[in-house]
Amino acid sequence: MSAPAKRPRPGSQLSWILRDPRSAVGAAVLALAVAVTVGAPLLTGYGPFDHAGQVFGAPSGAHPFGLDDLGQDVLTQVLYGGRISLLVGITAALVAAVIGGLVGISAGYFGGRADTVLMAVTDYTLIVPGIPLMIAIAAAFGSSLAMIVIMIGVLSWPQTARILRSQVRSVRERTYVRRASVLGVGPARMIRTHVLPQVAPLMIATTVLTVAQAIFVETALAFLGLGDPGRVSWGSMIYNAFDRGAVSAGAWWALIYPGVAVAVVVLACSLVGQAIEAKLNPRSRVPYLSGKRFTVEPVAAEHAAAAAAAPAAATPPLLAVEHLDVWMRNAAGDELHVVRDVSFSLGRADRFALVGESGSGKTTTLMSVLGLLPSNARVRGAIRYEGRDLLAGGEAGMRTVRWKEIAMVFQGSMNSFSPVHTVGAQIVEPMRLHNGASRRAARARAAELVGMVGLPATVLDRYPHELSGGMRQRAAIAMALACDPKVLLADEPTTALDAMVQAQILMLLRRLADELDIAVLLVTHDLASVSLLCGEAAVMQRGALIEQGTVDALYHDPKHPYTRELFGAALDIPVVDAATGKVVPA
Amino acid sequence: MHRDRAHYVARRTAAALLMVVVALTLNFVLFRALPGDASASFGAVPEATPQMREQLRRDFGLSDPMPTQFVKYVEQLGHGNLGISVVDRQPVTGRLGDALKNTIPLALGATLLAIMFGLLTGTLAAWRQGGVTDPGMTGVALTLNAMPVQWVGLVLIVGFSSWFASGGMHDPFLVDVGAWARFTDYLRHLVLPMTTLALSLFGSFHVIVRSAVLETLGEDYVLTARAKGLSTARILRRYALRNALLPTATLIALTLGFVVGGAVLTETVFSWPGVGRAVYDAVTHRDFPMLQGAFLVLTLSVVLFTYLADLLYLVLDPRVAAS
Repeated sequence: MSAPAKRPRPGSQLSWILRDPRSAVGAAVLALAVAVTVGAPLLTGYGPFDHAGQVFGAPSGAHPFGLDDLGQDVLTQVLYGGRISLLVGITAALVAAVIGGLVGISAGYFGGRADTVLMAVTDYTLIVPGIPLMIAIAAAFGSSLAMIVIMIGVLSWPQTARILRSQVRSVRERTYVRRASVLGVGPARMIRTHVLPQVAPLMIATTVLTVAQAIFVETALAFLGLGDPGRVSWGSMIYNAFDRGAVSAGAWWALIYPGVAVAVVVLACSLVGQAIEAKLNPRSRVPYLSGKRFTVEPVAAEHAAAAAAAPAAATPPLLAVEHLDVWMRNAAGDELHVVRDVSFSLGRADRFALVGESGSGKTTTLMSVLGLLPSNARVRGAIRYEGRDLLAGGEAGMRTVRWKEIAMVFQGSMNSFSPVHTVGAQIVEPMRLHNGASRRAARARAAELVGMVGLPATVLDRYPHELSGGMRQRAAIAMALACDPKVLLADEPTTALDAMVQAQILMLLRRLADELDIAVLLVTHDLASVSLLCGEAAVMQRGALIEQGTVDALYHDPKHPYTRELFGAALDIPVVDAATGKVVPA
Repeated sequence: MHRDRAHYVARRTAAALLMVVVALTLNFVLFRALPGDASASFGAVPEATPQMREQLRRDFGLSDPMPTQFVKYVEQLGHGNLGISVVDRQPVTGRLGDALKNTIPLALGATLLAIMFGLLTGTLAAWRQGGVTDPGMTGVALTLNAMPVQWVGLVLIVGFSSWFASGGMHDPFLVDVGAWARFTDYLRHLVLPMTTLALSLFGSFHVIVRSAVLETLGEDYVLTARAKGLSTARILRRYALRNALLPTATLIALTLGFVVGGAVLTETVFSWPGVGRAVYDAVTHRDFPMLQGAFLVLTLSVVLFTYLADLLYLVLDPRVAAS
């Protein structure tokens, strides 16, 4: 990533706000609300305090929103009341943005003691219950409109300050900002040219959300009789409906319309605010669990016919992947063909590796075996376990083989354990659920398993964060063996570990697979792992298997130019002593 | 390990105590040190002489230097003395105690109800993201969140007051009846205010839980749990939701101020005789000792629940003591 190129132009920051449908709708509603309240005299012939007809008159053609307890037109009151509610909301939010911006940016930019003091003040302000405090102040000092605006603004800034502080801290760490700082650019100029443009969208988001909050607080104060008595606002209309008998008289129209007006404006504000926040913090990760399953298509007709014509083998292979195709739909809606017509099979206790660069489709192939693809995937082909097609069996069929027949060790086991459960609880869980083991039997077996991977039984009561990376990977292997699977899928099982530990883990996998008679399907880009663990391998490139054979043959007699390139680049494969698991110096 | 936990508890306790000091100071400063003390309104009484006013200031200790006043104030608080209500000359402490007994079931019940539903719908919405369930549920939650509490309460009164009671805590005409009849009468009065407060809190809890669960659904341990052949319900509950409780607890603790504000408004709408209603009455009667006491109680309860949330975190996250 070249840091200076990342520096965005300030103007380009805001146009996307209006391109997102949510914020566009929200912004349009807000603009409309401002327009109709400012243009109130053009839309209604009455003044806000004019007597327009019968007390609590029902909605009619002349008074579409009905009349209130003083015979005032409710539509007129909603339009004029909106002026005060929006004015209070917007100005109070600006006050909060100025205070919160100053505090948050100073704390984040200067750090150190200034940060500690400012954040302490922010946290203490945050716990003060705002409404009761404003009630106390308003009761002591009276409540003019300016007073209400200042109070709401002064109590609403802490959220803005907190959010901006963390954003400014991360901006400050960026390379181009640090470089500018080293070049002697002063803080005022730094904040103006580098920090402000970066935090501007976030500031807009929090300010828009504060507008909503401020409108809310205005209705609350008015409801407690602390509003500005000389003016109509949506808050005072709700209060009057409560206080002057509209509710008990059944004149619902005097109550409903001002509340709906508040709800529409607040909802519009939260749409805009949320759309900006979602844009600023995009969720890059696809959820691993979703209510929607990936799509499965039947095997292509020519393959199905060929399979039917072939004589049925006496014993089908343990695991067979047949003509597997996988497509993934990306966020833009385009489908990418990530696995292309892949076929291979695994006999009992075989060791097979899929080798390729990242993005070659090897991990997707592995995930297909256990049906762990995301919901945006489309799959065609067959995955046969002992002859039975798992893809055709749906999620329920998949669950019958998961962990009992086919278990898995994941890449970077740092995160494959849940941080809030003990390692033991997570190893015991599948035994209890799948084998119906008693608590005691499962626990005893778990102790045995961690012993087999060379860990003391005490790790069962430890949390994942208390183990080292190598220990966690051993524990992950113990967990995979819990239900005596016949196939072990291993997805880059050693990448995140240092070289010595990598070799130890691979030796451990080889020994256990030998002892327990387990077939291993390894996915890796690391050729050293392949040579240590597997007898046969297939090379994948751009989703397709391009060459398959014994590891020896692939090394010494590669047929495909890509294979030659891949294996040729790996001359510095460490030699590991099979007995000790130690790397032998060249 | 245990030392770390004790250390964590000690740190949080110190922070909470500091917050109590800040709350007491704020309470003192707000009501005493601001321009215009209690004798100022006495000055508005016709025929009040400057001598009478000075006498009053001495009687209330208002002529003492500020630090002395503060020490006296804290001393009085230590004895549980919050002053005398100017309305009925009853001690503020006793009246607030009664009010608190009425507020706790309402506020706590509504908060727990809102958290329960928020956890349920937030988790479901995150799981069904991309379908119609998520925008549907989240749309309802955002809409509820956009309605003023007092307005929701009034709308419920308009719609449902023929089924449930809409004011007070007991039917005043219900005398000489058994405990069971009194209890069902209490429930009949509790339904609408509790629903009002729960509905207005639910929206933000749903949004908080949804985004926290969406975050955990992208974690590797959820993929592992699926590979282990666990049922969807178990993965959602034991892995996604359980881990999402950590950020959820923090964010919910930050909304406690809203719970207090919501309770004040709800009690006002339904004439529920709690602390919130006491605040409203104190405002209308300009009863400053009562207002000051109620404000202190509300601030301290936010401090207390923030502290409890910190301790809950210790139970929820085994990593917390280590950091």
